Amino acid sequence: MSREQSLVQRARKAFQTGKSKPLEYRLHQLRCLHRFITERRRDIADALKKDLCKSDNGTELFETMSLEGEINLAVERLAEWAAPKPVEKNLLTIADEVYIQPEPLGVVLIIGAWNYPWAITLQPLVGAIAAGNAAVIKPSEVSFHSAKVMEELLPLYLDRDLYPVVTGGVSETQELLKQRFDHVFYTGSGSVGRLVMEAASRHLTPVTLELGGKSPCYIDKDCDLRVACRRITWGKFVNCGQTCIAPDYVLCEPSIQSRVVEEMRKCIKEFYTDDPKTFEDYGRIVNQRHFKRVMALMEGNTIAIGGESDETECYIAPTILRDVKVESKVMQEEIFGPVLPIITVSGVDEAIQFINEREKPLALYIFSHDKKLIKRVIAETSSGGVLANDCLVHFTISALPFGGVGNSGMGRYHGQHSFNQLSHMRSCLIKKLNMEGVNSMRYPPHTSKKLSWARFFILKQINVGRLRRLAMLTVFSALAAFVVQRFLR
Amino acid sequence: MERQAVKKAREAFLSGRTRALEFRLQQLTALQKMIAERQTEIATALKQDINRSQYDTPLLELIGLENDISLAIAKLAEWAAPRPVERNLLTIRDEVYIQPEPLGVVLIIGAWNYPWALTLSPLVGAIAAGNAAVVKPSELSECSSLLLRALLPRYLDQDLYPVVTGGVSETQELLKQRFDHVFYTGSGSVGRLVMEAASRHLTPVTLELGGKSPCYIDKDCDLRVACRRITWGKFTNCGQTCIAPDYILCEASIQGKVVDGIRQTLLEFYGADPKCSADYGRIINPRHFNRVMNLMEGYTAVLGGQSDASQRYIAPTVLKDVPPHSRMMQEEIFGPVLPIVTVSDMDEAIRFVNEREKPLALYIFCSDKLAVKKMIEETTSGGVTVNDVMMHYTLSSLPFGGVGQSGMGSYHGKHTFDRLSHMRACLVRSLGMESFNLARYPPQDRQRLSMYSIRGYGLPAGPMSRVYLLYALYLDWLYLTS
Repeated sequence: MSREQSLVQRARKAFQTGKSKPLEYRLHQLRCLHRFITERRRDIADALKKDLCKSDNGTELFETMSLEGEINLAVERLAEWAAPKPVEKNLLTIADEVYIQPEPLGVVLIIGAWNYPWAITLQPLVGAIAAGNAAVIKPSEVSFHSAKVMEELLPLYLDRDLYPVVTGGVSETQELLKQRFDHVFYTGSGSVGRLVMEAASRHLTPVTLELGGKSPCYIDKDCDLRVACRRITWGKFVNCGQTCIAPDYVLCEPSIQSRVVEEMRKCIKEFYTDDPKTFEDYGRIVNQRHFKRVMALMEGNTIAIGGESDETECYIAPTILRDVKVESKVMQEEIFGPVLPIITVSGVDEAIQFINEREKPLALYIFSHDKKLIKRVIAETSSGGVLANDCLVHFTISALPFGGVGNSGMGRYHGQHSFNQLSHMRSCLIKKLNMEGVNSMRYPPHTSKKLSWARFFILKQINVGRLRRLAMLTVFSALAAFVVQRFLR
Repeated sequence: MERQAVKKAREAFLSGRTRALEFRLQQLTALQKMIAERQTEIATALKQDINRSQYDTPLLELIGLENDISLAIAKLAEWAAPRPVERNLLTIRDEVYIQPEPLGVVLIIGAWNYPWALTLSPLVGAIAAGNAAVVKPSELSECSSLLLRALLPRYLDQDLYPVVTGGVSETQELLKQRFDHVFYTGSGSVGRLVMEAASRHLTPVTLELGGKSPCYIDKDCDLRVACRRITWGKFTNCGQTCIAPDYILCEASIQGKVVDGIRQTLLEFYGADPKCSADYGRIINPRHFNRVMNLMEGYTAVLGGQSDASQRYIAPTVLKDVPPHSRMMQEEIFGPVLPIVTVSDMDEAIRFVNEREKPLALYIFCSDKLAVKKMIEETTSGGVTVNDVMMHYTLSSLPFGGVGQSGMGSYHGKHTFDRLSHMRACLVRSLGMESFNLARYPPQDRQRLSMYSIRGYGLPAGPMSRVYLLYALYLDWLYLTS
């Protein structure tokens, strides 16, 4: 038996003991996870520094803060999320108990990504724990320092049978994917996403795929370019462009292209100084392979800003390309690096057409003062999520479901959405063995009279609330009549 | 031919005409009209396919469908409207909502046991959500399939909602095409192939599969009523219902009474000779007839057991003392054969259920509320109905679907709409209030960072949070003027 197989089996046995069912247990595990993040801040920050050159504050802002927020929310709301939810009844079920009961699925496989190895691997874990599942955690080997730290330290805080960490590369992941899970949660590329879903299909395992794509960013010519460019610059160059929802490319009219470039130049200088290479808050490309990939994308384009690089450090300066041609390599794949192409379009109509000719992106950004224009772009396009007049921050609102559509993914998470995604919503109808007479309309031998009764009962729209109010009104009127009769004569 | 139909459907979808709610309402009304006007033809097709009785067609298929459509028409505006969500301090001045959107082109693969309900109910949701839909009815219910192909284009937009008939090879050809969602009802083995095909295009799927739905009868309950309800659920449509009670679990002491209860009820429902009853159905085809007959081999029926291959007739049959590991207990029966497996008590019943794959439905007949809650808590299944069978299917506010081997995804009522929509997260901010953003920009320092975290996470709007906000603004002002 392989290591992966035995770990999954142990997780399943641990799940079957039922210990993750009680809410107190789940809350305890969530609090332990919180303690892990607060006590091991240093270890996490050091690992991220080695993996991606992330600064301490960058780590807190972009990885651990959102994680802590998710855990706090889950701890605060778990009882509410896990409670049975009564639903609307009809005339046939008016005397019955009808509700949806959230239940654990079983053993969840979480495959993390390397760009935000802690947030992206552990946020789904928060939902998995809250929903009462066991979870096998497979951090990305590309961010291998973080993976090692997770493997060593997480078992010191969480139940090591229920939530094992499995490190390794492609072959270990393939071995894991042969095992049977009750849900697979994958974050990464579309090509691997296909393989994950195919593997899951063999066991009829549902999947959540958080993929990527090229997230367009449209800048309307009549908007405050100074603020727009600040927000876009921030969103693009955070984590050296290695964010699944980074604005991938800019669409704007030729008349404002130069101003956009100038504003961004100012922001890059303000954020990262004249020499981003020496600046603490500017990251690095994760490895040589991705460095070469991003460098190759820049070929054949006009560099307006940046373009400098240093292979020994996997450093690429914040780079902006102008007048980019649609056929160029940089427009054929997700950039996932600090290179921002600007493509000129004649106006919002052409921008909408441009976006719709391509795969549905994970995020769409629109910068404009004109609410009507914003609403129009939203109505005439599709994307995982859409954010007007800012970048990235919709990720931080746990009430919004975060996920893709089409090639950018399937399923969603964050906050209660994680809990729901990793639960089974079981329909429950509790009837009694009395009132058997009502059922005669469904039993053979069938007659048209019985059928018309059935039609009445099933098709009559009943507003139970109104019925209750009517009943109360009747009781009140009867009481009033009684009082009048008895005491006021 | 399949490729053409999908291409035309996609072009029709891209024209944008399904976006307007009026269009969707008009299509739904037309579908409603089709069902109302063509009841007789539909009933005739079903009689030829599966010997469905004249009353069972509206009762089991059409009334539910009518209900679905009326509900969708009444609630469409509400379902399709933007859904505002809870804001945090960071987004307090923004528009934050979830916008339901069409996915694009949906493939609906129907089943043969309730060919109209199981093919058209997902279509109602697809239309309501603004999608185009390629409808592939099951070739096993051939008359219904051909009738649907003839009728649907006369009522609905022909390009947006084409009907593609055919067998395995046509279905395989369809599955090679790219869709935005595939909705499949049928067996687990084909479900795997559907999901595998969908994975090549990263297409999400809904799989409504099956399994062996257990039916536990507690010894201290009104057996007479319990047996009536179980008999109805089991032998309706000749047992060919995905949520039919597949087998009974009960204590040995009541087994005899259960058999008697079922015997009495069968007499009441179908008379002494069910073969002559207008309300008793037939097996869909010789292959399934042989399959069910083979499952019965080696058993002596305590009720029924008669059959007639020329009519694909199998009498309502009950088997007692069936061994847990027998062949009968290995696959979904999907026929009018009801095995009884004895257990020592409810705990053993719970263990029995849990040792097997998660079923589509679980039935519990018991008057003890606490015991019922215990059984629900200690098992899992797609859905559960207590003290009756199948009825959770009829309430559109309950999501209908499986878990594990019994399927993924759920539908009915609003759940179909939601399932076949993309719930797009929308955040509309303004270009003002840039000072609020300062904490996130590099160079990052601790003080501004903690103010950001107070703003961004957890604190709901309230009096104390305003104090923090003012302090944060003061810090920002200091920074901006420094």
